[in-house]
Amino acid sequence: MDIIAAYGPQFLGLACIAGFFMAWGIGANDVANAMGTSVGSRALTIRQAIVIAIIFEFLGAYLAGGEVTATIRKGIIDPELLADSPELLVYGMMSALFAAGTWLMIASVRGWPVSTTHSIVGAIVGFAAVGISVDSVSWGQVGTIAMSWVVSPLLAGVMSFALFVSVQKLIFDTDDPFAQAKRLIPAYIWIVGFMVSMVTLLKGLKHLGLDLAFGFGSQFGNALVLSALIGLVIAVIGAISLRGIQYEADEDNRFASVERVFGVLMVFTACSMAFAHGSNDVANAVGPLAAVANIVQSGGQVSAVAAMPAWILLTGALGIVVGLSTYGWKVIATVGQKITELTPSRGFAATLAAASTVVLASGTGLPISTTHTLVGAVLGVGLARGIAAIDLRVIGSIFASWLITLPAGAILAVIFFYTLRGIFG
Amino acid sequence: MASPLGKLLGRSPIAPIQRHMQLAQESVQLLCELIAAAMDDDAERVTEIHKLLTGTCADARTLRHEIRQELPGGLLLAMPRPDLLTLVDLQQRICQQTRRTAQPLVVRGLRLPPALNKGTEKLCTQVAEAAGSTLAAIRELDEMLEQGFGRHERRYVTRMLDALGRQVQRCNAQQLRLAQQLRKQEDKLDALDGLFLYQLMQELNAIADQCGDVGEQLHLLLAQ
Repeated sequence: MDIIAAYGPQFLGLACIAGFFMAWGIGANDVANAMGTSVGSRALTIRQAIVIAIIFEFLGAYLAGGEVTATIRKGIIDPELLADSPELLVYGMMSALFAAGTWLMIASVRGWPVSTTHSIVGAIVGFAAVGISVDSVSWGQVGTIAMSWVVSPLLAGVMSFALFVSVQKLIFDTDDPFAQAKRLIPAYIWIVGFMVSMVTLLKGLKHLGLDLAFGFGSQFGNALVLSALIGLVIAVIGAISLRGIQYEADEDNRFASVERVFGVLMVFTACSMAFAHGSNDVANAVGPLAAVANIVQSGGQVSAVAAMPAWILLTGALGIVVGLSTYGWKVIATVGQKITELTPSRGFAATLAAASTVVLASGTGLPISTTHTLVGAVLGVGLARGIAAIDLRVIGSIFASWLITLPAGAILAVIFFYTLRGIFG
Repeated sequence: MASPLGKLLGRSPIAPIQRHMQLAQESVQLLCELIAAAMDDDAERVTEIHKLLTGTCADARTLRHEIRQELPGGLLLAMPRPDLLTLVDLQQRICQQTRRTAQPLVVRGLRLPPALNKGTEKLCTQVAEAAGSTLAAIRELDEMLEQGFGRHERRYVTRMLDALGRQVQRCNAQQLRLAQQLRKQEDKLDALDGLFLYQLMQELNAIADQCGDVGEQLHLLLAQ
């Protein structure tokens, strides 16, 4: 208690800096994967991608990031066990931030693909299991999270497969694909709007204190109707922007005009992907920060239930945006250059499937890896014979990164934890 | 930080395969020019074109190697790997066949009797057309992928392949007529020349058959 009273503001300041730094890292590295499919398929220029990312990462983090942040803050560790020594939780969360941040820096320098989500979760489990006690970890929740890491790419793959097959059957394999595209794409745009609104309204807006009562019975009913309407508005906007696209005969590629129609759809999908990514990954930065802030501001009380201050999500969102504008645009360009085999129709299927999965996970409070989910989604399109060649060895490298990142984050967190304990007592 | 997404999408083999067929078709065009030069008895031009022909065939061989190398085992492909590799092999045979056809004209200085010029020209044109149709069909590979191997694209390409089949039959018929014409000229010719002339017509016609084989393989790919 005394330690908290003595060093409270310092801890908070340190945690803020560390949290902002993590968020910066997420914006600089991770967002590229979310926006890469849009830039690679040439549906967006890099500048457009950055603008969309800035707006929608921020919105996603602020409007829908609450649940996952809560999980990171208090879902992985059982706070009750630390009621007597709250400073351990403070040290631990700060260690987790430092550890994850350090690991990301190492990976960046070495050029390894690493998931920010896995780093922070591994770090938290690490310091808790080793630094405090094995019982302090909610292993049930950890198990659920680990399962979600396997389920999310699979789910995204199934969704992208279904989406792409529907696009093939309804648009491409017809007498006039271009006309079919102009007719049906607004419906797909509606799906994008509906899906994002639905999850956000159901789960994400609690911390803003909005009460949506339109008299449709349950919260679910209200959300359903409102989402359908929002989707309709967005679909109409999409339909209007489609009007300008004319059919141009292209000898090299008879479906070039169809792809341009899909390009419009990709813009909406890119927005949803940025939103989804912000909603899930902001927690990696501000979850630990929220834990520290909660303890410091309550003077040492480790309460399991506490409101999520808006300023914390704001800090994370801002960090992501700054990271994106300073360094992230370069990484987006690099990733975009390597994904040129992806056309808008493929990119759309993969991105929408991934965005849906991530937003669903965010609503359920599960921190997942956006990048791995995207890989699963692209694989789904490949299985539907939508892509000429997919390198399956990447799956092996993903398993390898899981095996390395979790222990690495844990070990680093333990080191930082004991260091902090040594310094502050 | 490296992204798995960057490495996830392997290089599509379709563009190189299409380029390879283009080289094969160019070799057929060069062969026709070579035969025309032989008819004019322009030995210099014959040698010149022959050099271009062997160059084109060498490029095709290199490209085939590259295609094979770019298709490693860990790839998930939209079309089955063995069928794709067989397709490239069949395309390569067109190149080999054009070289084989050209050889007696260059090495032995074989010349056609003027009475056969028109018929040979007609056969050349028909073989070149068959090669052109084959190239057009192979160019549909990326459209097939784009459209998702659906019914419409399959019908479209099947129509092209039917037309190719008819062209190959016309080449066979024309080769027979040409051989009959040669029979009538036999006593005016040197015995060895006569033999080589028969062979020339057969080899020339064989190019069309090779084009037909490529078409058949493409049809097989479609049927997946």
